[in-house]
Amino acid sequence: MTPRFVRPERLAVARARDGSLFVMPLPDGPPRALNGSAEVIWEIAEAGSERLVQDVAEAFDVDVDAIAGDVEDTLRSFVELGILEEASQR
Amino acid sequence: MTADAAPLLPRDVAVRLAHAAVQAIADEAGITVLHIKGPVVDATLRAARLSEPVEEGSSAPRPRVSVDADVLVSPEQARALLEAMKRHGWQLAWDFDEGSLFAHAATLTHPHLAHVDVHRWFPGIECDPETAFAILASGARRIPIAGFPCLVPSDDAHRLVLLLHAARSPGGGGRADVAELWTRATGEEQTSVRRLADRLDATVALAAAIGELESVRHRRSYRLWRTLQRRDHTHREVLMGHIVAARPREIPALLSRFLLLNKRRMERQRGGAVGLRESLAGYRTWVSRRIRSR
Repeated sequence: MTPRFVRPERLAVARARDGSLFVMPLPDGPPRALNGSAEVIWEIAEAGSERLVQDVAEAFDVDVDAIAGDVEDTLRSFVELGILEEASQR
Repeated sequence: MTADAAPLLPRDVAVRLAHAAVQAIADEAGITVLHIKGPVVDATLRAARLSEPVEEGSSAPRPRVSVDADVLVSPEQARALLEAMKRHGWQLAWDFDEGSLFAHAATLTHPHLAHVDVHRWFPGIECDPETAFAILASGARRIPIAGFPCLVPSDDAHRLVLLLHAARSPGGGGRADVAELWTRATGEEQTSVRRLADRLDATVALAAAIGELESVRHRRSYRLWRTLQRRDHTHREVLMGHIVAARPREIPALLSRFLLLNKRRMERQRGGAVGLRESLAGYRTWVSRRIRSR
């Protein structure tokens, strides 16, 4: 089962006027642009979804099994980059 | 699925992330900073106006455009903030005495984020800078900038700071701020700003901003603010204004800052180092021209 995630307390998040999303672990960064599916996965995760993979699959209108591995890899990389945190870590 | 590192940031994003980064550094170092200007104005003083429905035939108010992030810190903690920022990858581009005769702000740069101007006091405020910061910080609250809670001054304090800034930026931006933050303010808001200006001894610069400068002709700093109001003022006219406004014990430091600034300007124009002797020679030429012209 995929754990629940939250936004780290020391994370800056800014949306540009063209709609693109940027995040930066504080205070040192680096800033990162979240593009395409990364943005969707991050937003669903930081909203605290309890059925994360299913919600992402619904957002892209694909089968859960087809994307589960990629979603989990992406979440792991987000945690390593300090732009997402497992809820249990708080 | 990508989270690209260190992209070239859009300017408004670079400014907001810079505010958040400075706040995080200040929190870690136990330093109180107040975020002013730029995105803070849109999130506070202009928030209601920006969210108003746009009437047919009229254009929507635009967000403020900033190229850098401005913060205010108490003079006592200013050096500690610069040091803390340097430990986190910022570089000092201009120290306090290198930017202007007011010696009020230092500029720091970052490989990805917008420049930050660290103000240790604000031009136009004539009371003791430590007292001024304490007054400006009273009533401060945290608001999210780039989603991170940053400390901002009360609306009255921020309105006054922006008007004081407008007093020495008489061009388009300054005029627009006066129209939006003073002319459109309620009588009650204007009274609060005037009271705060009294407490901070900022009445001359406020008078300059709101078109009442002649009411303070008797004040020492009148000449300085009259000069700053003119868009075509020269550095030397500003120096004369500063000298008239200064207390006698402040004049030696003022003159040495002027020499340093002149030296830096000559270096920028020539693209190379200028010796102290050469810089002093330029200054002597100016003084003798002034004496001859009397």
